[in-house]
Amino acid sequence: MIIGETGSGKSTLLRQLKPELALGKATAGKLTLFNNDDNNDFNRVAYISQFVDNQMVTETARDEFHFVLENMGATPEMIHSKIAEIATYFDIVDLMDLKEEELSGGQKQIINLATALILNPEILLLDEPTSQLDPITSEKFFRMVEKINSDLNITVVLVEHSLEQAVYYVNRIILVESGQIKMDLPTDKALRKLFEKVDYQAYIPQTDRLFLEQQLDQNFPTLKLPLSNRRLSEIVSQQYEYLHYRDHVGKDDQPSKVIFQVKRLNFRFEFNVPNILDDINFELEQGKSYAILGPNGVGKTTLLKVLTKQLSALNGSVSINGQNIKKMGKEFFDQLFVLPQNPALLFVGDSVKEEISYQLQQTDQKVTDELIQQYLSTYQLENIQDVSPYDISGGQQEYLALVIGLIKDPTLLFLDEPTKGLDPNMKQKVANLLVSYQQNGGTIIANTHDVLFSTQYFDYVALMFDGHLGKFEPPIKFFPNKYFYTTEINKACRDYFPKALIWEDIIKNES
Amino acid sequence: MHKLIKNFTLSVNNLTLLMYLANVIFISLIFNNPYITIDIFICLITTSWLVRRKKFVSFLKASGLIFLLTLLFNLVINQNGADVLLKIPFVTISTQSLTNGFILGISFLNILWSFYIYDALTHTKLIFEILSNVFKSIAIIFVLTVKFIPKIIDIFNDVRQLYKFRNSSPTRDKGRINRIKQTMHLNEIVLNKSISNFMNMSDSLISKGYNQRRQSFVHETNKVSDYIMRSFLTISIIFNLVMLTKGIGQVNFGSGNVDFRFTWLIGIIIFLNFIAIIYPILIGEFHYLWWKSFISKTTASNIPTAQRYR
Repeated sequence: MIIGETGSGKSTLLRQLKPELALGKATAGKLTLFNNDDNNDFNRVAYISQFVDNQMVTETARDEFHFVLENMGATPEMIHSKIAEIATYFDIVDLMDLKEEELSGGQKQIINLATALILNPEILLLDEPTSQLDPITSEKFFRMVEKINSDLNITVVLVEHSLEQAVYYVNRIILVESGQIKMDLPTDKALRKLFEKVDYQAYIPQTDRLFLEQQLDQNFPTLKLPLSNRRLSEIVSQQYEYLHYRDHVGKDDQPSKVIFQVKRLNFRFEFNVPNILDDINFELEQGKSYAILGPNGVGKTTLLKVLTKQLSALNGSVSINGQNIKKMGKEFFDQLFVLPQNPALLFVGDSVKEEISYQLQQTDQKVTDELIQQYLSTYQLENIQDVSPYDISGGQQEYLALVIGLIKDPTLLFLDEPTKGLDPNMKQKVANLLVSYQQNGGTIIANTHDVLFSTQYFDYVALMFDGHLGKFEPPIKFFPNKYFYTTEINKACRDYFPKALIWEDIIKNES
Repeated sequence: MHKLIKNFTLSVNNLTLLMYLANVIFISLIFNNPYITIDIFICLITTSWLVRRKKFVSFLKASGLIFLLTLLFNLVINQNGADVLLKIPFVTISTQSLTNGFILGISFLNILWSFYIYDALTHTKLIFEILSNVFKSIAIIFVLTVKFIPKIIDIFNDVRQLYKFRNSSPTRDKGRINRIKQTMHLNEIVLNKSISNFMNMSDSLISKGYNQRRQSFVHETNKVSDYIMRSFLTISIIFNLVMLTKGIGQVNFGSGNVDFRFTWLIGIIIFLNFIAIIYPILIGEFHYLWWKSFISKTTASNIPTAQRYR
């Protein structure tokens, strides 16, 4: 697994391993496969990108397999037997004739994986393959990759922005920093090495972080990282008398003015289908942050679009400061900012600097070059100021879009998957921006799959499913009641510390 | 898609299906005799309804509007005819110009509805492969167009909505020039965003080996039903070509008169084209009756597929 900061060159390095896809030209060095200069056939290397939607050339999985095999000149008999094999192995027989728009993100990515493997590659390159999937689907995907790795002896090179899920499936971790490989170690050693580097501690999964931070490795020196929840639970049970719980999640719950109200909101896309939003009711208070959790396809993005007038509600009312949004004109759009799932949709300029300049022009300030530079410096964007916003990494795009929103300084900030594609340090940066916005009276509502992020930085969380939105509760009340939908620390330690949600919550007793 | 049409699409391969669609478009293009045109129109509407109901009503509304516009346009440009019905400044409407406009309108609708059927039944991969054997770069343009026109429309809609949240300048929406400027800016933004999608697709084509494509022909497995249908379609195409070269089934629109004579050749054209267009329904129905009469009675299977056909 290759990790590193957003924009450190992980994806660029991965693409170099498949020369047809390499960006630019290698200035020095040589690429050989299996130490054999005479057999550098890069058809033995398969590649899957993070863009789930743009990978299928044809309409269905069956056509896609045909397309790849025909490109390689396979005979009809060979095509038939290959497709039969791959469809059975990946258990996708039922998906073979479904059109692209009928497939979920996870199903598309499994089909992309199957398509990549149909030519029997020996190396599989995966560029953040789960960045657009929810955690449950991501885990299924990683399990499938692990099966391929162990069943078929295929080498897998995986680029990831976070270690949290993928770390359990890899043998080695490579750290890339500013275009250079800074570390290449087996997983256990790599995690311990990352712990020594302050800048990379946030990368370590919560269970391992707890183990290392509380120096439990001294008591269990032979244990190999990463730790499963079960293993951590065993450790905590043995060390229970030396540990105690201290809340780091609970926040001040002072009531404030209600600024956003939703009453009996319903929405559906077609006449004879169940409501995607079914009788939604909630209120948002000024200066608070709210996270909506839930798997893909439950209507989180639809809810956000209805609340921001991008879709019209079937019935029900939405009001800002007591004023129904249906009766509001331009002032509605002036009070809100939406960060969509694809932040690139927000960009209007040819460079990062132009983006900042454009947003400043929308305010009352006189826009000068100094002012732009001041903003670029405040948000640490000077290094990429002349780069096109479409050429920066996904994480940087997310960050830039949020900065644009904060320059606008809206009353309400709507975020759709704000941590998608962000490395842990970038997440921290985003969290700091959100906290300062909130301290200045801003209100945030976000859709997220990121249980840990919502635990650490949001005042209230609620679960959405089947069109219903549950009650907003503080994380400290919400997660301990959940069995599956909670943090890894809570799952591992709940028998002993039922309220512990993050590694900081469990502390070693002072002797 | 109706079960009869679905059954038909399962009984023939994609190449035969493409040949059927090409023949339907060809028939819609070449004839404009009133009897033949109306016959074709009825067949096309019936087949379209069974092929894809989802977009049928909205397409019907749009085609109604197009029919009206074609009729009016024809009334304005073709003012021949002795039997005057109405005379208003600049426009003289006669029975001949009205029938002429009506038939021309229906002919135009036939072309539209034949493409509706094409759109519902066509198989992108097959056309892509046929094109890639002839012109590789045109094939890429084809696949990009087919894949990205809906995507560009989605991007345009999203960007238009999200732009409102970014653009809060006091001069927003003030004056026509400003609005035009903003629309142009929006279009430029949408194009910029679409290019990144194009690049991803190009990566995908490369990683799937399109740049080293070795196969030079299309593989399709032929069954008896394919041979029967292709033979029938070949006869239909040859017959229609002969009729086209002889000028039978054509109307001279500049003449100011519509030929309403019904000859036995017109009858044959009507019959043959009727069969050629509704062939999927006939085959589907034949298979269905065969299933109902023999197969479903002889199987004791309780699987959902068998139950559905009982």
